[in-house]
Amino acid sequence: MAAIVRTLYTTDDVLIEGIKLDRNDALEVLYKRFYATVLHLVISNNGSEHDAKDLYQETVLIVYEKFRYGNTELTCSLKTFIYSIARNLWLKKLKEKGSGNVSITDNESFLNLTDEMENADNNEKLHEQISVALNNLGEPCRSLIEDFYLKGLNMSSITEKYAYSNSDTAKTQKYKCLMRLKKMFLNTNNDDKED
Amino acid sequence: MENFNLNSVQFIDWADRYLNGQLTIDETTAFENLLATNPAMFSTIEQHQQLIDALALYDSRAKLKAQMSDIHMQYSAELNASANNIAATTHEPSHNLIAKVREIRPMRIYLAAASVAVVVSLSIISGYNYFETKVATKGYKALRRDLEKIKKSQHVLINSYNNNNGKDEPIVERFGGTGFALTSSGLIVTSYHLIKDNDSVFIENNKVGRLKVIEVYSNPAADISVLKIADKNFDGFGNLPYTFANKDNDLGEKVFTLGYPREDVVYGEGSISSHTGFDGDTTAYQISIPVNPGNSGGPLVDEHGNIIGLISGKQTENEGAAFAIKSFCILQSVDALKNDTSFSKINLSKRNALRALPRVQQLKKLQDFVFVVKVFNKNF
Repeated sequence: MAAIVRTLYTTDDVLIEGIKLDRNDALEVLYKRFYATVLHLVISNNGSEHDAKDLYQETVLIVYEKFRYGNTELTCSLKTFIYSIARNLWLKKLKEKGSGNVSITDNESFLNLTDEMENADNNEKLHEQISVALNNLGEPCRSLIEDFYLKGLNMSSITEKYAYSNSDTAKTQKYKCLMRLKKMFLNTNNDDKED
Repeated sequence: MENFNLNSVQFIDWADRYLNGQLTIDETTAFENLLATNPAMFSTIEQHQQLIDALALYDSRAKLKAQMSDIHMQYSAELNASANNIAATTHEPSHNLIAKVREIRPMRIYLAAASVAVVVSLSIISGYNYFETKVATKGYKALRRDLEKIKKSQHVLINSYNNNNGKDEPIVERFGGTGFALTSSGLIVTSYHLIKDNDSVFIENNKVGRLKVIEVYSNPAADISVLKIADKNFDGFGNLPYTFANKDNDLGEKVFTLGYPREDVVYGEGSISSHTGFDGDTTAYQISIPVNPGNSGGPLVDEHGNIIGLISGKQTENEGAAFAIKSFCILQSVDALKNDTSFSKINLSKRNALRALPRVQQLKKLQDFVFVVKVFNKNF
């Protein structure tokens, strides 16, 4: 029987290690541990509980992407890091609402995290582009792309699932779908640049 | 392999298998040769990789969002349940989260105000520092090693032929302690009490031999000094294997140190016993490592190979208690040093090569970056 080691993730380091290993219980611990901090930030700065939930989930995404793909060094505690990200995002949201001079009442220390926010912005744009492209791709292309590139189905399973006559036909279909996706992906990219 | 002619469909098929690691070794070599000689194909595969990365990002976000919304539902339910159990004064369950957070708010402000008051009173007492600083009192013993004393007691045995006392007293080696590399470029951090009033200071270990150093920064209040190698032939320590922690470690965490209480390096281990040092000093830890004169200035390292402090002293009437200045004070010293234009480009190591190693290997690596600090002083 495989041993399932449970840990309490008491320190930031252990928690971050759990996140890197993509453990569900680490996500749960992280989520619960820092929610109140962000909730407090939002409701004491003209936001609702609903806003707080959205903002917090956006923040956790950024934290996850940092630890999974980016530089994993933290120059502060995880709490300060999360608060700083959430604060940046909330400030941006308040500005978008357009109520003139925006200021935030703080109850935690925070850092500016310019690089982190730039990375997060880039990922957000990338996510937007690929989402738009996937949504416009249409079926069966979208399923085929997801089955092959995300779910890891091999070509013979795909041939069978989509009832292609042989795996060469499947490969050709996959190629066509991919080229459509790529074109849409790059187009939204260019639109962005012109903006 | 026969001449490599791939049409677009085949190329993408190969590219996918290549990126998934599904090609044989021969196929991989052939494919890489093809990419190397064909810039257009290379950029195609780069774009392909970017697209796959974007897909992976999309997938990872979708999964995370689903997980988070599950966790959130469960969490709200837990909070509501506990809030209802406790008091149930509110009739709007959905506002319990907010109520809970609002409840803790006045408390926080109160605590913040209280800590401001403490800091203010401390800074009035100490006069020049926001932190409560340690003063040299009885009970606290700095750990520089009085080499001269040891020497004298040893010399009794071999002194018979060396009796030309008097004229022209040479500079004598007075104190010995420990220091460790702060940057690969040749900065070393050690205890201020060790090198104050020095005429000259040298560092020494098996790796670098003996090198002259000069004091470039000192903070007597924090008991930290930074030294710089003053040898023209010195060309760096190489990459430091450790990083500096910027937050407090937890009580009970296992820690260790390397130091030079005698001529050879000595290892000591223990744990963090308190978040404050001698007489409630908030800038230091109390640790349960047996330390001796000469350990001063040595690194305090946690199990993951992060430098978390600098050994500073011990309590005279209590053998078990030693103290270490927290690493954030070292980082503050680095920041202060950066104000000096010739040190504005100091880079602290960001790579920790000790993290995953067993202790013996950690020590082997660490040892090269820990030095005996020898202080010479004419006027004692």
